Amino acid sequence: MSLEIKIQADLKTAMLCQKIEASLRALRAVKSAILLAKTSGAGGELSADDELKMLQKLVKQRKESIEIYEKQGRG
Amino acid sequence: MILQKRKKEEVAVIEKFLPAQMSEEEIRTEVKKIIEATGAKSAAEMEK
Repeated sequence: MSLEIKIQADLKTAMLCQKIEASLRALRAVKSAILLAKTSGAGGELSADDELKMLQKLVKQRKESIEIYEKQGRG
Repeated sequence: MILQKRKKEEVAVIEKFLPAQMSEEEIRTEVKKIIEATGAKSAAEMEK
């Protein structure tokens, strides 16, 4: 196998791993938010509305971070 | 900018669990369709 082909194959695998790692990070954040909401709230299961709000909060937090990073990058 | 990239990736994953958000463009198109369908001619016809 030529080096180029080997590199191409490994690159593909590495990119896939990167994607999986990103999912892992996000899923862990969601899981931790669920646990936190369950223990801090009225207890028991979260309603669909609670779930939606929780997910929106997670997205909002991240978008705010992105905005801060962008500002820092420009400055 | 690695942190930024990481956060963007996380947002993409989390958003999959949220109901699809319509873009402003899509909302405008939908609203126009509704206005045409109801035949409303002006803002004065609101709440009819």
